[in-house]
Amino acid sequence: MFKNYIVVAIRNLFRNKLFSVINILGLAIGMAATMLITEYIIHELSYDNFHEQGDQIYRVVIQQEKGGNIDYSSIITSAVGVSIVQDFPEAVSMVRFSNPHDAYFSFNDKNYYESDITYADSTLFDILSFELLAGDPNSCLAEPRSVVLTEKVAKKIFADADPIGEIIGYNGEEHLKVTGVIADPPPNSTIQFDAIISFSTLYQMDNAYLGWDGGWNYTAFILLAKGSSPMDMQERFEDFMEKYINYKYRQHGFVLSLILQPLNEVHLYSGKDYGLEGKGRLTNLFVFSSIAIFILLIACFNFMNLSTARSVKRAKEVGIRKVSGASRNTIIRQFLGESVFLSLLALVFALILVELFQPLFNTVTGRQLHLFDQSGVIVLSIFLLMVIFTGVLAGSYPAFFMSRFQVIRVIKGNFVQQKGKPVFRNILVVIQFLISAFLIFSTLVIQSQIRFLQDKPLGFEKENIFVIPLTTDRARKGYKAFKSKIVGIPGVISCGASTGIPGRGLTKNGYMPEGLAEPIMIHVMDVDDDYLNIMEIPVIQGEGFSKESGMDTVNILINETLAKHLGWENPIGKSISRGIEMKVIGLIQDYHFASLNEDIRPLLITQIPWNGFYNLSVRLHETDTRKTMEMIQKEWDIMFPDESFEYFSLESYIEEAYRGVSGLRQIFIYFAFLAIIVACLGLLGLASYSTGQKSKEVGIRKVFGADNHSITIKLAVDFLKWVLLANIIAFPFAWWAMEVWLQNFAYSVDISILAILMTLLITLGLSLLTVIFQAFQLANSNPADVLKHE
Amino acid sequence: MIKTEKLSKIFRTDEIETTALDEVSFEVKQGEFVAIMGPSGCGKSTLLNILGLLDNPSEGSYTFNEKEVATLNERQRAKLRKNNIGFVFQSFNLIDELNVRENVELPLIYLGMPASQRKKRVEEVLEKMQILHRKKHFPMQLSGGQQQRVAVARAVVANPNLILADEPTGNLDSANGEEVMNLLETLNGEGTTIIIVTHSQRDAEYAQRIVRLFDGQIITENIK
Repeated sequence: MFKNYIVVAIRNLFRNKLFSVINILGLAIGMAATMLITEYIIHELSYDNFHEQGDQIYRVVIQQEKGGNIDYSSIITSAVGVSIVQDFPEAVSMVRFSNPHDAYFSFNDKNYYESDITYADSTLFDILSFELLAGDPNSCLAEPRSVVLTEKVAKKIFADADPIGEIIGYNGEEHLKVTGVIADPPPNSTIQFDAIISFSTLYQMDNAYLGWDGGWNYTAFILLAKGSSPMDMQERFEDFMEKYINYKYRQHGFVLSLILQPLNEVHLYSGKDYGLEGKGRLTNLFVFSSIAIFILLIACFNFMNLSTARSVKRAKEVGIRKVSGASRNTIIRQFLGESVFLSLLALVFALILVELFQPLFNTVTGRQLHLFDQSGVIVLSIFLLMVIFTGVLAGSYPAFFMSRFQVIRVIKGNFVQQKGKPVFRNILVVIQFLISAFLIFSTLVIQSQIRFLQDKPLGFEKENIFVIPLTTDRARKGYKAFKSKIVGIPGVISCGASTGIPGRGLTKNGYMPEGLAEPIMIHVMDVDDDYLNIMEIPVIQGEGFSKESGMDTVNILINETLAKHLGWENPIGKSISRGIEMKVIGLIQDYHFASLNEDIRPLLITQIPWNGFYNLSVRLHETDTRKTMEMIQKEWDIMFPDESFEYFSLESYIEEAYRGVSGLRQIFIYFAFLAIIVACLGLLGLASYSTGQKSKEVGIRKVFGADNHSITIKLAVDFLKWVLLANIIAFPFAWWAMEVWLQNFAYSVDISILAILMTLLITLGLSLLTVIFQAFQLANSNPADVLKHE
Repeated sequence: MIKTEKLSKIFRTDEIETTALDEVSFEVKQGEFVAIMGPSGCGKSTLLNILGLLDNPSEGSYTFNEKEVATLNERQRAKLRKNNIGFVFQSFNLIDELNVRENVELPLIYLGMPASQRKKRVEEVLEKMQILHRKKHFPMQLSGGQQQRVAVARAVVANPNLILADEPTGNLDSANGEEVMNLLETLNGEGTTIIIVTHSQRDAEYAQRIVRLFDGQIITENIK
């Protein structure tokens, strides 16, 4: 019996090529979209799940409250983790990581620049399940000046030689002993690094502050005893924080609280729960999976619509089968089987589509995903389930619909479509275009928001600025001499040094402005006297730092937001103190020093860097920047022969910072496009079907005087009215959803009525293109041909 | 074998009520060949459909092999149908997507017969209907007469006790029509009960008994 079904299914496929192509292509597109997104979701959900004790590991998050303002930070001071293990018996162990920094290693007179180097405790391997490939997990991070290299870095420096015991240079100033090689952290690990230096090294460094109340530079992970939960410790947290820090901070109006965040929630929930920047976003997961399900639904609806529309043709077959002894159930099973079979065929095409579009999808999501590389069995079973689900969903309505046919009516050949209008089919068409309109509208809004962000003046000129990181003490100390060398290079306009660069965020410190009783937190950046000029950040009141004054230790600049915040209409001459009293000599125009997703915050600019300037920004003439950078490198190599030269373009760095949003945009564009294509495919099928259905009606109309023109219009309108209805229903939802999305941004566009008009134009335009040919053909048919058949 | 008593069928729509069969009582014995005749709309096909368990009567009793079947549900009727009744239609009603062999095989599939037995049985029947050489052809590739022979083959393949034929020669020329009627006669000779509905006096001549219907009632029964 099964063979018989397959035979009929295959022959039906070939007999009705248009319907088959629409169905299979539609389903394949829907499935491919679902597969890509399933991959993405599996990957996102798999973050940090490889740690064997994962359910006992927690990241320390500190909540800071001041005057009703709540901030969270997972970057904390170094002593917190130590004290937790001391004071709480449940806390078995902890490991700290310093914020990753860039540096270079040297070996055999060669330098190797690495960007993610961290300091970590020797307890790392007791808590986390990173794989140590060589070395002793108990001792490799114990001694000061030990380093564990990742496989990638070890290969780069030592090729195939054994690195254990080798001494390598670190930033040209110190030496480290290689004590271990660790497997590269998997892509689904929150904790990423290129090399780990023993935390004990920090205790020997003069400028590393490792106390409770300063040096917010570390992340700590706590291992709790089995069966313990932070919930049970909650009450004691308060006393704990009071004992170590709040007794001191409370005087200044700050209250800190301790939160233990489960490790497996770090990737997806940090943004939602604590507003912490994480790579993963829970909302993206929801958005992407809804889009995938929507497209798959549209494709399933096509299948349902086309199958029921075609049911007249197959009614006879159902009748004969029933007369030959088939029961209703066997008929249902046959049609369900047929649609599952079709889904399997679609799966084959879907796999091809996935292979083709994987690289593009990876670029857009910023992930390295492959179809079968994660957990093949899970992925495969999900896809097989998807095939069955799609098949059953798509086939169910036609199956139940057709199996209900009364034998005598279909067998006598006088079977007519059910009376009245095909309500169910029209509902499905409306839902399809509703989804399409929703996606197109959202795409247009996202598009305009991104253009708005890109075009929004940042308050500085990012073009042709190249940033050279000053990673070593030697470079930081020698930067002035280096600067004076490179300003002479043709192609260099000027250069300036600073501690921070736009887009990366700046540290905050407590300052006491004149007239206030309590200190406030203000972002701070240190610059040399050229920096604001080359960035073209204007001083709008007072004056900037001058070359004559040398390193100015008492004069500072503030931004407009800080002046406004303090209510200073004329800030020049006011004082702000932190240890020493500093005088405001200039007011700079606001500029975006952090992400555009955030408001511009109060900013204070000084000239007294704590540990030197970390970045040298160079403005070049537009032409031949590469050649100019090569000349700059020559100067660098002469001046700092042991240190490697790195640089990046500020413009691309800032663009990178918005990639999350623009990735979302691209996904919307691609998927909205797919949705409308699949929906139009369905419309094409229905239109071609109704060409047959309506030929008699058209014939009669023509015999009684209708002209081709009016018939074409009538036929087109018959379809387009449903598309229009779908748009009308979609708009309020889409508008609302986009309003909610735009609330994520400090600066956002107003949704324009133009987006609605554009959506209408696109959906109606494409639908019209789809049906007009069929309508035209039908309208031009010869009525005699049609009516003769009757 | 078949007995109806006061069998009525009334079709109702919102506005009108049509009596297609009005208290029809008649009997067909095992091995009989009966023709039902009458003008268009007299209720012949309705009667045949009820006799073939494709439809239920509105009122009255219908016993098939001494069992009351007037009130069976669709599933029970389907079961009884596939074990006992073969159908031949005016418009052949072959599945276009299946070839000759597969079309004839269909009833055996639903009876759950193993493939090897099915193959043997189908070839036997096709041989008997002289259409075996066309077994790989699709309905579209056959003449009307050939298609109807395939339809008859399908009707008899499961060895039913009863064959119901609704104007089996209606779409055929006279030569082909005669051929089909001869086939039915042969089957009847082998013991199969046959009931045909026809407009054609010539076809009716093959039957042992002719029942005439008018406005849903039996007006005469002629026994040859």
